[in-house]
Amino acid sequence: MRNQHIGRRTFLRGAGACLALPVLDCMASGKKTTPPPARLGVVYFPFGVSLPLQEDKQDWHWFPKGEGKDFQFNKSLKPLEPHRDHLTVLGGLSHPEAEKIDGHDSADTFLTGWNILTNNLRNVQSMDQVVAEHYAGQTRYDSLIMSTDGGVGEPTRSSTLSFNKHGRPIPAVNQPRRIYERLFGAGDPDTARNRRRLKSSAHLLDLVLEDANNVRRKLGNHDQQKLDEYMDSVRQVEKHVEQSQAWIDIAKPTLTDEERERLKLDSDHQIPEQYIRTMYELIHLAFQTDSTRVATYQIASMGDATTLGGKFPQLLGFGKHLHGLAHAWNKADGVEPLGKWDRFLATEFSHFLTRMRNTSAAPESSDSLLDYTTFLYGSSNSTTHTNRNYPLVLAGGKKLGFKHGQYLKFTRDTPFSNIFSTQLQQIGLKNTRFGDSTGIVGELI
Amino acid sequence: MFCGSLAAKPDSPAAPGGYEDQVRPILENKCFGCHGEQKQKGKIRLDTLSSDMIKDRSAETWHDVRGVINLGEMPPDDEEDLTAEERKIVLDWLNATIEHAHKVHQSKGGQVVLRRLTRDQYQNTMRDLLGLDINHIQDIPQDPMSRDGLRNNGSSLQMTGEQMEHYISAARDALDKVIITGPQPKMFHHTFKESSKVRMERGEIAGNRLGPKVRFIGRIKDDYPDEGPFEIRVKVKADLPEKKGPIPRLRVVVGYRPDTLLQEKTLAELDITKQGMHEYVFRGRLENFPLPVRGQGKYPGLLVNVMNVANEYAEVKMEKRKDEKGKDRNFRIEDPDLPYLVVESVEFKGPIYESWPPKHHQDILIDSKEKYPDNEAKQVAHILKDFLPKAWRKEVAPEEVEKLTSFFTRIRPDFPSFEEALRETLVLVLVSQDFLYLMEPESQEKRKLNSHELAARLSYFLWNTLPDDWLRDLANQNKLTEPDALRQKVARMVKDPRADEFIRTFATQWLDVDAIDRIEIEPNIYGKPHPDLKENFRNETIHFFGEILRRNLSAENFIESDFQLVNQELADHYKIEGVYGGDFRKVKKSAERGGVLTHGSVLLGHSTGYDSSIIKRAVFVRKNLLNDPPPPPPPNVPPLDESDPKFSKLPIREQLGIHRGDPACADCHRNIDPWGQMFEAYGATGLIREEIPRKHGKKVVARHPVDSTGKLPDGRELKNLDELKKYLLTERRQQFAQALTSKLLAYAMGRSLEFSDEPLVEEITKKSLKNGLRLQSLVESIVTSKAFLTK
Repeated sequence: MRNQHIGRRTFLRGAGACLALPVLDCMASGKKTTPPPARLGVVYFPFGVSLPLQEDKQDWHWFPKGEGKDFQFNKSLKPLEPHRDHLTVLGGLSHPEAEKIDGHDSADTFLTGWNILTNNLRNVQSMDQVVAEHYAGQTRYDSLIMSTDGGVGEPTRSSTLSFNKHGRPIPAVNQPRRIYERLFGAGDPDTARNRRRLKSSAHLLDLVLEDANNVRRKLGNHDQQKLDEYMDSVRQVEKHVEQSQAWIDIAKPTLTDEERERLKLDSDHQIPEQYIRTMYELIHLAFQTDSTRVATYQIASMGDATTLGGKFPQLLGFGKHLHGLAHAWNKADGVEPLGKWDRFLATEFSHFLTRMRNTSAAPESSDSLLDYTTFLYGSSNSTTHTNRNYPLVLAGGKKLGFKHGQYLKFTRDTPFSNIFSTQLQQIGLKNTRFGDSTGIVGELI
Repeated sequence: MFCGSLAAKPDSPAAPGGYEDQVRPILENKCFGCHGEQKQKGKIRLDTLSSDMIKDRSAETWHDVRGVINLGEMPPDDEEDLTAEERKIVLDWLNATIEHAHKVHQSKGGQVVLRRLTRDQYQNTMRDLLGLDINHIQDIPQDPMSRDGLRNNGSSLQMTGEQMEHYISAARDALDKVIITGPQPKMFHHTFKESSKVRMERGEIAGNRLGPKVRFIGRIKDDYPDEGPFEIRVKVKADLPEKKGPIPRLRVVVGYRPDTLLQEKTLAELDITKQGMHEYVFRGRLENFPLPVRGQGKYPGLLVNVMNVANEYAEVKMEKRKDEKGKDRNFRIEDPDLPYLVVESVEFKGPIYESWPPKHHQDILIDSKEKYPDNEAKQVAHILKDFLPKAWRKEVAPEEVEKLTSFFTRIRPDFPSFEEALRETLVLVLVSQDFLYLMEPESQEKRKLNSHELAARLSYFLWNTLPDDWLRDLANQNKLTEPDALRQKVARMVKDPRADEFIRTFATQWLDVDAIDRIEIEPNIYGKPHPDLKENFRNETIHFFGEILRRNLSAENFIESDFQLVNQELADHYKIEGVYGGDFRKVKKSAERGGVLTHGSVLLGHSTGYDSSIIKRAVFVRKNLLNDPPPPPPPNVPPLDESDPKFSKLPIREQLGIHRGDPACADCHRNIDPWGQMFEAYGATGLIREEIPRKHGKKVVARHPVDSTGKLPDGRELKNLDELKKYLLTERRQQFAQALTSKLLAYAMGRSLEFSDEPLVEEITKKSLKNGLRLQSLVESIVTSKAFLTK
């Protein structure tokens, strides 16, 4: 069943990365005058963070001390110190609808804010896909959807953060080498097959239309109208195919040796540190080469024991399986191991931010890639079963108008979706209110 | 159909009259002052607004007028209001005339519109055509429901670019599996005599003797396939209790994704009635089951579970005894009144292919390779000659075969193998309009269907899938057009198990069985419901419909029957004794049941989840049974105000009385509410109740005695549901028969009925009433009717 999920979108959409449609006139007219485009990235981890209640353990508390501009990172987020001016720590936020579902069911809702349990496990479009739709066709891939487990998982235990406009999960890719081939490779089997199919699709749709046209003449008015609907649909697909073919004929970006060496394409879920770093690096390279402007990565899913990401803390020497580790968040001997896992994740995130800051937003630009990227990092649990007070960091995007260097604490009047609406607005989707959002967060811009 | 005019005939061809002599004088007196020659407040002028909504397309403005009168917004407070009598006259005319205009505008000249296959039809057609039983419709969205509550209406069934892309990828995915390359995959074979040790749910144990909370598990650690057909052979001994009573029910469950909502999936389930050894073979495809994630450590392996559902909720009996160390411990003891299954062995084989290449591959490639060993193009032409007529459900011209063959030739150099290029060619077949639509071309005028078109209509009507070889042969020999022959074919098709699809689909849509999915049972009042209750309600109604159809019983049984269909769980719920086993069977009805109005699906689906709903049940009777839906509530009308605790305490009738006191609601509700009052003895879960709890928030704040009496709009006073059923079967018999005929006809043809269909509906209804409303005969009349046989 899972394999089938993955295999399904091979037409136009390779698993995970939605194959996009180039906007030809836009490509023809040079981009010199326009500012670099905005990018959106999201990284998610499950089961929350260490939020000890014990007085003597406060230095492992994930949320910083202080508030506003005047805050100090504790040990967990200390690795982010060098990027303090490029990020804001968000406290007190959650999706009000997701609060109604079980703590372990909430990963599906991180980017949708939707109560899937009262809606027959149907989700709604995730926030990243709103942006992907906005940019559709302008890059090779509309979005790059990744997770450690790959595929879509099961409802409430999704192994993807992203849902299409019908609320269907978008299969995530999880093998660095395949992602690399997709972005930069010339002759991977998927591309070859895709190329063949695109080519035959063009002939196929031609014939279908020709045939429909012949039949059309023989029909009555009402039937003609119906057949027109069909022919319009075929023409839409045809247009997609043409555009996708155009992309296929445009050479993929090439990487420098140094860039290639950084990637550890053979890493897998057995070596978490290298694997997570490589996944981050793929996001960085995808943004740098403008292969896509939207990327999401789920570090582990809520399936935990039955998934690949759950064992990361064990492999890293923090003791337990992730779920068990997170459960001990308030036990005397549980605070530190979980805090160390939090710190490990922050280290990798910090490493990524460094990479993003050291890269130009565009070939001629003096601004960094990070300045044109709004990046969300966090979880849909504060502690294992609690769907409130999500631990969140919003980073990057200074040139998109974001103000950083602060720790903002929100009250329950502000739904998490307000952050989404703010991001969407700064990306350029004016007046887009996401889901149950009630407005924009003024402190961020 | 019209608010306040139950007597009005549905589909009346002439527009309702009475404007000049009745309505206009009222408007002149009360409205034209502000909306007439002198003034046109809000830019609305009524004196010149045409009362002929069809010719002059004035329905939209009249629609707005109806809205403001309904809401009591017009005439405004500082002007003289309409009297109750005047309101009624004006609204009755507006309701009837707007509805009439709507139908006329919808008219498609009495012709069936080109119909796309519904989602279910696409699934069934792909499965039957390709011999591949997997989920083909994962990404295809649910079909819209037309105004008449059906989902196969050609006008409503849309197509979009995105949907088209899904059809293309579904075809590719399916053909990748159907047409194979490479050697036969290795088969895995495992036999289990003892249950494997696996982490169980709390209180559950693994074992061979399946009492309460025991299941047999075969765990296949790594060596199992990820796709393809598999077979599970189960040998069990049934050990029935001595006195006649409960019987075991075998369930085989496959998959293992712990910690998710789809942990496992049922492969098969059946009652075992006879003592002794039994052997069963079940087949499935692994793609349809939740498989474990390979490479994770904690819960590895694919599980085959064998369970005895009869004991699923039975209590585990315990006894305190000393263990060998002399310590007091609880031991399970056996309950002699329970039925047991003893698992002898469970065998798993997969992927299992009787031949290689497999049958579904060979069924498409047939003898092409042998016949034209060195000519791929000829092979493809040969294949297409056989495949196309099946897939497109028509006679296929040589040019069509040629065209597709040249497509194959053109793309062949791009593909590494013959099979891959062939797959791609067949993708073209499966996204063509001839496959995705029920094509009945060449019809500026009405014409008789040709025999293949008729075969397809029949097959999609009664089987919801494409014609099989038998029907295709009949079509080829032109043996379908004779009415008598056609009637025989219908009888045979209805007996066929594929008719289950028609029974399920039509019963579900006609009787709005899915309503139960929209309601949650309130546990504070009814306790925690049995997890399968809704499913049993659903099946009750579907099996009931099937029983009436297949035995050609009278459709009167839908209103009142002397039998009902239950399984053990549902019988327990309805408090009927002596029913054992999970299969549905026919039993004598209990005192308070009979007909669909007493089905859990109707009573729960048309309740609020904590109480009955007089209004929903009333609307059900008028809309679903009498084809006389009350007009939809006017915009902005609030539902009953439940925020006031004093209001919440009142009996529902008094609440409705308050609602009726509001003139915006009164006119319609006068004609709705009484129809639902006779159901008051039945609570939300369909059981008889002695008193009616009233709730505020989650708390019960009052209890009232049951009052099932009501006075229908025609003045008839009825005491209870039995009297309503009698009334429907006598006074409303014709209307019910006509409503059922209309619905069946609309479903059979996949279009809404129009004024021009009215004589036909009347004719079929009359005939049906004459032979006692027998359901299968009614279906036969529809199939042999002119409307069904013509395009």
